[in-house]
Amino acid sequence: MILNIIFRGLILIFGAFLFQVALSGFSRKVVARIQKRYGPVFWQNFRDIFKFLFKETSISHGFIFDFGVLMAFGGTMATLIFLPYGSFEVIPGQTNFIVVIYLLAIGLLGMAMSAVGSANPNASIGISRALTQMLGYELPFLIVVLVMMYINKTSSIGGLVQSQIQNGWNLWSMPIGAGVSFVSVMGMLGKKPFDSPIAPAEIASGPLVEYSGKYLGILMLQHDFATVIEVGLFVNLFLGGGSNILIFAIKYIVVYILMVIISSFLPRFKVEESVKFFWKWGLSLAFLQAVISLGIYLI
Amino acid sequence: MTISYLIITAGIMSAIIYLVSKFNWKAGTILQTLTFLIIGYFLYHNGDYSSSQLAIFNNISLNFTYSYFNEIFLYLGISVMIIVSLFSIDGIKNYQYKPVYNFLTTLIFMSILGVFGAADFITLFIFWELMTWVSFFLISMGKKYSKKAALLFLFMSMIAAYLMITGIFLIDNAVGGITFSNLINNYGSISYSLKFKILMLFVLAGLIKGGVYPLHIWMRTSYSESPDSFTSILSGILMKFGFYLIYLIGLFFPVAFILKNNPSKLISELPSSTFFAYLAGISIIIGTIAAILQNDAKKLIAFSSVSHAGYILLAFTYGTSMAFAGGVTHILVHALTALGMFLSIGAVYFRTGTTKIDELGGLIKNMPLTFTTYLVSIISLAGIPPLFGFVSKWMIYQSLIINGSYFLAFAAFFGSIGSFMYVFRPLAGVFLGQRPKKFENVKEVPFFMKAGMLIVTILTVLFGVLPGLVLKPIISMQQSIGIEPIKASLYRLFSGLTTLDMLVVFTVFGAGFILALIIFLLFAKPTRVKQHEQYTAGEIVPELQTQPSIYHYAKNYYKPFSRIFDKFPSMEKLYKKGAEYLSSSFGVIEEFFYEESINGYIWLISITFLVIIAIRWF
Amino acid sequence: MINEPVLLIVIPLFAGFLIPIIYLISKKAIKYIPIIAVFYNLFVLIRLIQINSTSLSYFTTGGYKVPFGINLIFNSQIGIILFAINLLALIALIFFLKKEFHLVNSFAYTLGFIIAISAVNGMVLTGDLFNLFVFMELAAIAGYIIATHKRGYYPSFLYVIISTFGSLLFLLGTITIYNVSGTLNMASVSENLVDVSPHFIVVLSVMFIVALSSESELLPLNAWVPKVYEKTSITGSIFFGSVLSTAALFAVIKVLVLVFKGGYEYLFNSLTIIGLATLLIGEFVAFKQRNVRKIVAYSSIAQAGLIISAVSVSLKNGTITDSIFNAAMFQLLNNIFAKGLILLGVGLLGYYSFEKLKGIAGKKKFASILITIGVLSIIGMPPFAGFWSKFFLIKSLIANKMIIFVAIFLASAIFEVYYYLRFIQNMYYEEFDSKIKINQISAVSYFLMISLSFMIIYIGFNPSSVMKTISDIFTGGII
Repeated sequence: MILNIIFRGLILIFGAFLFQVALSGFSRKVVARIQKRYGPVFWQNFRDIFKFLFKETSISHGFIFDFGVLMAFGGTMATLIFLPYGSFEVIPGQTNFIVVIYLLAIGLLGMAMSAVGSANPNASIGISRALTQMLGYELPFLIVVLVMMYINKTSSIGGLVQSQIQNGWNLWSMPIGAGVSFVSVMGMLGKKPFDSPIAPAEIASGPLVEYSGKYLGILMLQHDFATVIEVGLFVNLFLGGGSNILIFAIKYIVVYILMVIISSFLPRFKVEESVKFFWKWGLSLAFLQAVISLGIYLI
Repeated sequence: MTISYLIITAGIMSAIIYLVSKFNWKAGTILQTLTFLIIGYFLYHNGDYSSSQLAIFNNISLNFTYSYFNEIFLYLGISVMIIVSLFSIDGIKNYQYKPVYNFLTTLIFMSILGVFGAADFITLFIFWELMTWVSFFLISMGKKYSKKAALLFLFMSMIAAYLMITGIFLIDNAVGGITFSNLINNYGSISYSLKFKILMLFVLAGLIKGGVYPLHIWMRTSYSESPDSFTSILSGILMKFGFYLIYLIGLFFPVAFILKNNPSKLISELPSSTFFAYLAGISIIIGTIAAILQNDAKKLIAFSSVSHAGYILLAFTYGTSMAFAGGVTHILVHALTALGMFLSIGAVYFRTGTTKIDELGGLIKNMPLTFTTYLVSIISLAGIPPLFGFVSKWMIYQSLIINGSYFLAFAAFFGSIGSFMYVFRPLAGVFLGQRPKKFENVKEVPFFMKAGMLIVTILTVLFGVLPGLVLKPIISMQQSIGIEPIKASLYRLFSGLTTLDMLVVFTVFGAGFILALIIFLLFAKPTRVKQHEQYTAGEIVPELQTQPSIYHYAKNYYKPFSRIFDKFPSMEKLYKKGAEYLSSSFGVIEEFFYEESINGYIWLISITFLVIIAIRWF
Repeated sequence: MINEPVLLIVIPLFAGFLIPIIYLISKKAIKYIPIIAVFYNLFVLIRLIQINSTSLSYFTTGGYKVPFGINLIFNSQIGIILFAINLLALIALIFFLKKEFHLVNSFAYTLGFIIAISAVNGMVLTGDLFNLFVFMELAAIAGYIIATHKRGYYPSFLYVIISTFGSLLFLLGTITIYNVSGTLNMASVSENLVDVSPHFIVVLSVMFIVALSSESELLPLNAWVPKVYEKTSITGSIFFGSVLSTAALFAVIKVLVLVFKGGYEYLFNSLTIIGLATLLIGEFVAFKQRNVRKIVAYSSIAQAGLIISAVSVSLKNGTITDSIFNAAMFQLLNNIFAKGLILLGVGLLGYYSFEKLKGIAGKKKFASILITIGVLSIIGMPPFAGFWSKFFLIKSLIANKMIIFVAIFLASAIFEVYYYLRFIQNMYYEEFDSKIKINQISAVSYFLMISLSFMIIYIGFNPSSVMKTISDIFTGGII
């Protein structure tokens, strides 16, 4: 039994790796086309990651620098295990939403510790912005999902997928909430207009400034896995998951490319602007959705 | 051994500890730790629940009990005191009045036993008052502004105490006695309006002591100015007195009374209050925001305590069995995390002499164990699995979700996510980042302080992976009180919506970490580079070699966030203005009635004569 | 020994007459006379307490029957209170004779003191209105002498003016009562007062309240209290704080119970309001003070206000509400010891302002701890005596549904705790100014302080028994 789980987990990680890295490479082509150029080949990201991983030198700034990277990467991979992908669940029945949200936080915390542990002020600024922004985008998302969990009487993601198979996609039954969550997931991914924590030209990539060699490779992997988790969450919660992994993948691709396209033509919010944006629009729309859905449900 | 014997023992030992500490303060503190341990052991060894009496105030006897409803609180109090006392064996080295400190903290231990072990209200009140004035003296022993802080603490505590005594005598009037059993028996005969008044009095007293917004104003200064070991005690256990009161009056007595009439029924709907639940939500939000804006580590943790007081209040007033269990668990969680944070910040202060975040930095190289304790505590505080804090948060969230309270769930989430922000700030500012030159040779703390912190860390991890260790007593308490218990096993928790398996979470996380480690080690070995040699975008920065601390980003860490709240009104300023106004009006009264010259009295005398004559004449 | 309370008045008075005679022979010998007199008083009191029961007895003097002659009222409860008063007088006297004898005009001071003791005993014992007037005048005059100290003459001058006005009003009131009821005996007056018009009662009320407020530290005539407490000698402070104020307050209460028996609404309501106002104003003004003696003075004012309003609340309905009355008496008793201890303590330390007393606990640990015990008792912290008197007061007030009273009381109590503990904090937790000279405290002084602390702690651990010994002063039956 345990061996089965380990095997499935490894397959999942490897599969997610292949899928997402290829997809992000492909998205670079999409962005390039929008910008009227050709863009790199779609397996470019594989090249980048392997280049970084196999570099001979990499700089470490101390124990916590290494440990944080490991915590981030390990935590993210662990979180990956707790999501359903179509009909594929690594540990059947263990797909608790709250666990996923919090384990994601371990990833962020690990990276934050490691980045600040490098003692570069750019990294610290980036992390402080990332944490501030997190307070912005998490709240509307959680409210919408809370209402969803209440209506469907389950707090496991697998359960929510099941109820959507019966009742139809949540995209149609909670459209406002879906829109809010979409924007929140863009915030989670750090895509424009919410990329002030990274802010390439402003704070020299923020948290990633001191990483090189295999560290950068690992963190790119971690970012990709986090993308899988976050977009996967959205697909599971609003688009009904998928009866098998192929349909899941298709929905995933649609959502991800849509996000990439939208962020490719937007500028950057200042971090307090993004927090205010999420609190003003995100929260009010989320509460509106809550009132509407609860009203419909109770009546 | 019954509680009355244990209290007398504690009282006698306090004097002995004082005398021993005068000879050798270390021996005195070790004696104190041993005393607490032995008393705790005797309580545990006793096994059965028991009641006891102490008739020291001749006809007025103090009633104690060790029973299912206060067992957990007693052990919590004793454990917190043991850990802090262990820490203090080295930790009070720089304190000015060590024998008095040990004496007073043993008295605090006595008052903890007395408050939690009380079987009637008078006993509870006597030991509560004892705790108040002893705490006053202990807080005053702190830093520069500690005296004002102690006075504010005293003022608020006296308000709480007097609200409580009024409530106690109202109970006395209504049921003719102040023992708990008397109240349970006659609970039904109290009129509804009187019940409401009594409840309000006790709840307000509990809110003041627990530090819920807007009655929290004493917390910030009391926590930041008191001596660090005592702050751990204040935050770890004394703050919980208020919640114990709310638990007793708001939950235990009504439920116990209902159960008297239906002994075998198990109640799932507990007394609840919408108003206080929302107040708790507001406390969570405001406490979190205020914590994010602080620059001093201890003040930050003080506001964090305000927000966690909100969590506990929310859990207790929400009304479901799972929320109640979550509340009790959260009390335990908060005690451990507060201990962890204050002990580690105390350790930093012990070695560096400051707790201001922007003056510190990079101490992880010097104090790794302190860093680990702090890290584990903040992970638990933020409620991240697989540590203990996640368990209580999960239980609270489940009850909120099951009942669809979206605003309260929002508040709870806000507190949780906001806590990532504020707990990270001292981590980044104190332990990571650039180290100021003057702290280059700071050493790790001495053995006993390390021992104390280590115990806290281990417990946090242990209870996180195996929450059943803590939940089992809580479940039995719920059953004995008469509430439908939550379902939990050693590492699994069941709510109506889903199952939580902490062991699975921990194992998967561990597996992920190991996998990451394997991948990490597969590739080239990294080169260690000093933190000063950094990427500066091509600029040459000479100061980076000589004065690296100017590149420590810690001041105004969340400036963008604080800009959002620049114009918000502050409750503390409001209180301060009120107090100043009141104080100046006292001066006016003094001038009016007690002026220096005799003229006023001649006036008074003449008027009095006129009045008398006028009345008699007409 | 004979069962005659009049000895308590006569012996000190006799001693007072002896002093000028002995003074002519030997200036130093006058020291011993008051000591002997007060010791004798204490022995007499012990005997009297043992003999008498808890019901009120009337003792006639000179063989004249009531209501023609002066009678004294006494029972074992009054004996206990008198014992406490005389004990503090003894302590003040011992202190005076050891320490301050050479500092003042010893002849006048000693004479004044012993006359004052006689008068104070008289105030508490007498059952006749005019007699009360005489003793109050006597106590006041002796008080003028005791209040005078080279630190400041103005306070005693103020005291003269205010107290004279009070005495004048009291005389007027007594004359009026005699006019109306034909007798000066308190118990008899109450019977005759029933047929009098309420108009009249108002006048009497005003006169008596104002008149008696001077000595008992109530509004409106208590302006002298802070100033006198601040400037007088240490003996004087103990005298005023523990001896005179208690006796005067008790005399006021006695008048209220015996003369105005039958529940005069107007009088008792106004007295409650005045008492509460005194309480609040006393606490509020004390809040701003930076001089220990002034703090104790204002606190003393506030306590007097509290006790009077509690007593008048208990008398409102015509019959005495025992629980409230007994609690108020218990509070009266506890204040004697606590105030005496604090005043003696700071007197021994020698300084009164916050600046001078900063951090003095570092140098004089034991004295500071004893002072702290006194303070903790006044503010009502367990396990000291004051906790229990506050406790019983609140209990009885709530049992009688006086919630607003309790609210005002507790609100003012919070302030009291605050400013007293602020003073204690100042003593312990500040840096001591090394330029300030510290006085040596002799063993005798320590012994006096320890005995007072012992009383406080003893009462603190035996509240019920002590309460029982002073309960039901006026309702235990009459012989």
